[in-house]
Amino acid sequence: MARIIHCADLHLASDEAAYSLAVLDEIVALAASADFLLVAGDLFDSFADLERMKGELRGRLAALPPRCRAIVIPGNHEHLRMGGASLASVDLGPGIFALERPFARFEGAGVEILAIPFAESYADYLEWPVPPKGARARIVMAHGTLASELFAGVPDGEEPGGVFDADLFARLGCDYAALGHIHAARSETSGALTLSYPGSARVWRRGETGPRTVCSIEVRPDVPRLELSTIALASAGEYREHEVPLNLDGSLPDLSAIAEGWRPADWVRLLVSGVINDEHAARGLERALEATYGGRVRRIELDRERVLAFDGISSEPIARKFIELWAAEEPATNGAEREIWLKAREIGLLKIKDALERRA
Amino acid sequence: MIRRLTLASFGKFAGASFPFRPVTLFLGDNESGKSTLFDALFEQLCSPKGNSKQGMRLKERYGEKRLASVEFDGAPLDLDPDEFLSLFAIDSGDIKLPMESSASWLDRVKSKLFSGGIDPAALARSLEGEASTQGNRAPAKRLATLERERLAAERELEGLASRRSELIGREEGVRGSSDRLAALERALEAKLAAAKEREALVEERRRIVERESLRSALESLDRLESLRREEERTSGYRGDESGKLLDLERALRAAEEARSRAAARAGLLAERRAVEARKVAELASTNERIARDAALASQLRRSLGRSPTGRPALAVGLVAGAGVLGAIAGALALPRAIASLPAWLGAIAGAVGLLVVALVVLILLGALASAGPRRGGMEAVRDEWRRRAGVGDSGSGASDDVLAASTYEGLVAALAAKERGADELALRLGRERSELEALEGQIRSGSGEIESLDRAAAEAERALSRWLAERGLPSAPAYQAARAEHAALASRVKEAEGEVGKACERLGVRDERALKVEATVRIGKLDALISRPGLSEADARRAEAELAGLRAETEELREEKTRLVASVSGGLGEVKGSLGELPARILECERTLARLAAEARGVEQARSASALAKRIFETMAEDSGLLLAELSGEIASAFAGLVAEERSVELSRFDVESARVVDSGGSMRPLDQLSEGTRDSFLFAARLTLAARSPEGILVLDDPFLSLDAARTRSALRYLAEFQGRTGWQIVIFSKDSGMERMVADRFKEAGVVRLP
Repeated sequence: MARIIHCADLHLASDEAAYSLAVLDEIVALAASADFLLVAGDLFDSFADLERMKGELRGRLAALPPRCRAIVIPGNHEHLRMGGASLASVDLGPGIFALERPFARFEGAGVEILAIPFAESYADYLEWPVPPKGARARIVMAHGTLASELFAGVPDGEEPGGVFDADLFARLGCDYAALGHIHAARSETSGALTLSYPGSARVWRRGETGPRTVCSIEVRPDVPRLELSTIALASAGEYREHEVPLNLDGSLPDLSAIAEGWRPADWVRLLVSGVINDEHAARGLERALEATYGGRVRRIELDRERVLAFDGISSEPIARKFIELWAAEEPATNGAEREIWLKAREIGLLKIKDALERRA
Repeated sequence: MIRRLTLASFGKFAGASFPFRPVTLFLGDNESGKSTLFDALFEQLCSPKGNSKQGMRLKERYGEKRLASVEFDGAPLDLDPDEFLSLFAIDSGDIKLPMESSASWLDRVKSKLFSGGIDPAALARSLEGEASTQGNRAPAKRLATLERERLAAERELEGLASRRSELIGREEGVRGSSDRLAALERALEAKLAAAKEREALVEERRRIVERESLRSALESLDRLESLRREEERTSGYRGDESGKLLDLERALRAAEEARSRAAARAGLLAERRAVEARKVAELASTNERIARDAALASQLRRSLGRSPTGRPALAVGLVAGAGVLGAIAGALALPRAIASLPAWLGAIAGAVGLLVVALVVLILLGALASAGPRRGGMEAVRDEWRRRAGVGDSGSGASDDVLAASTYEGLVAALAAKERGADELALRLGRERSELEALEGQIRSGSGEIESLDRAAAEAERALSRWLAERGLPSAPAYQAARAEHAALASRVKEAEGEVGKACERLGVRDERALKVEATVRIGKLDALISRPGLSEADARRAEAELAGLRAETEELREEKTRLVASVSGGLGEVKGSLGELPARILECERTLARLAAEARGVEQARSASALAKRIFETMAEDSGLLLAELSGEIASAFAGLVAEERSVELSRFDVESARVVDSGGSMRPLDQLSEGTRDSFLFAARLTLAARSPEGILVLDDPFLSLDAARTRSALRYLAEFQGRTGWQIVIFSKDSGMERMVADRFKEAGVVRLP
């Protein structure tokens, strides 16, 4: 039986060193009881970060028990800000950094691993030589975007390039595709092939909601199918976004209910909205937030883009009346209804603001 | 309540101070400072911001340094400038105070009223489009557009997905071609290997042949060398001494020939001598006989007496004959001839003719004479001859002439012949005898010659033998043979040289030594390379034939391979090219679909949110409706009080345009269709009603009743008094009508009057 830990997109960065290294530590601890630690690209946020932090990485990988073999493929981020350097000169430890094209091959613990380093295009995959497949389970590591509805999602600023077709993995006789690049954890099974993105191992950018996970794969000799499970990384925390309607006077409503779910490693972003008397008041809010919750979460911030100002709105009867009636419509559940309810407030206040401005 | 207004420096007032009562009337003409007072009051009560419209106006009008103050009884009033101007400051009809916006005073009043002065129904209406689910409204239209785009994107995705499947299928086909290609390659390799083998064989054969040729060159060289040695050995024969030999031989032969000739001659001579001797003997014996005959003959002949010749008889006969003929001919011809000839000539011819005839006759006579008497003697002679001569014997063969002669002449001739014969014979004998002697003499000299010739011959032979012995030749022909052999050898040497020369050319070497070296070296090399020396020409031919066949097959395979490669790479290229870009395009499509779905959700969410907001506004508007109805009622009653009639007022919405008033004729009319007085009364009533809803305020009326007649004015004042009684508000009136003083005093208990200078 073999156990594999599959993670990706940790984006170790020197400007988030403590956070990203804490996550790395948690991953390495999980890998200690596994046979393979597969890092499917973007281990570092850039080549510059690679240079600065590879010592840290080497240290931790060296501390892995000999049973566990670490394999890292470069993702697109490892190519950023490279200057004239080349990845070939990078030493992350013996046999760890897989750079061979089109792929490198490893074996152990009854499984076979093909590691594909990141490329701008995989269009030549039809010409790749496919090693004959034995009875072993074959795992293919790759970094890129799988062209498939499940993984497409709304483009949110991902870098272009590196798109591959599921056929690539089928052709390679792959049982499990250990993928990286897409930061939202997703997996899909088609036939005998399972393709999975563990998602970014830490919160790298706004919008990466949900727990950060790694995939754990178990290969049993008697069981044809691989067993896939996900493990949440506590030290990575979560990115949490909350829509918070500001009171007309610019003050925050009571946050204790939502703050209850916040964890120390979390990155909290409050999207405040509404029409308030004075936009300066909104600026003061950030300081207030930081003061109150700064210590309780890793990072807390305010998004004021949807806040509008109208002097005196808090004393406008129509606004107050509207808020009064709107509050009475609060839905019981969190979800689409709540979103609509919050949006109705924005729309109503905006109309009121426009009318007030016209009146003046 | 204002107690006092002090204008330290404000406009035209400097240090003016005015007391205020619950009702204060300021009387004065235009230019008396009413506006200034109004503005000072306004500024003190409302404190408009310096940069607001009112503030700017005040600054402009009265300068920065204006100074005024107000004393209050009780809590000071702090009113909103716009509220003040729109609600508490009432002027007559069209005279409007400048406000912040160009909206009418009624609109401005809305801030003091419910909903902040904004008609929630209007807001609800404004959300109608956004909240609507109707197909012709924005959300539905946007959703429809999004749906169309989604369908298009889905179709595109379907197309891409099917293209992808097709390409993957095609790639598999290409892969099959690839497999075939691999098989072709293998076959090609095999063919090439086989061809290589054959080529090796051919090459081997070529090497063998070359080695042969080299070896034969070497052999030629060897042969040449041995020939040369041979030739050298028999170099004696180079020079041609055959002349000498020939001479010697010839000499010998000549000597021998001379000798044999001499011998022969001697022999011949001997023979001749023998013959001659015999002959002489014979002759001698014959001579005897003949002599006897001859004597006889002579005798006989003499007996005859004459030596007839015989010939003449013939001759005569001929001549006679000829003459006769001639005479005849002449005789015949004569007459004619004479006729034709001249007379003299004819005469001559005749004469000659006659002569001839005469001759002939004579001759004839003579012959006849001679012939006669001869016959008798002849027989006797013949008999004699038969008896004594040795003829008539058997064995003599030929008949004797004498006996045979038939004529006298003949006989005579025959006898004469016999005489002659004997003479001849004797001569002959004599001759023969001398001949014999000569011969013997010759023989004698001949044998001497033979001896010397013998010696000469022997000498010549010795010379020849010596010459031959010197050269080791057994015989003279041997020399020629030797020479011929040598010549043959020399020509063989030449031949061999020629061969070697050609070999040199072939091998490209300069000379024989180089040839030997070169050939030896090359043979050495070839020997090292040649592994199958037994390879025959037939084998090589077979290999070549097979090679040709293999080459043809290889060519075919190559062509097929080229075709396949083209189709594979073309196909693969196309597949790869298309398949390569497909995933990105598929991803793009999927992202578009995700985006469209998200947008549609957003549109739906916005629509629902708008619907909720609209509903809330509608709820608020319902409340407003009630209030509006209330307001209408209040205005109506105020209006009624003012015009002292019950007039219906309808305010469907809270704006001037919707106000309807029943005119004096009983028709519902909008405000602009009413008479000025009625309208002003209405507006006055409305403003008062609205003002009364504020918790605190002050009424500042500036010539408010300009357009009202006396009765209406009284009504208005009465209404004002009632208003004051209800609200307890301070009222300030500016007027230029002095009659107002009395009306005010009548109406209001605590009224003050200030006359402006």
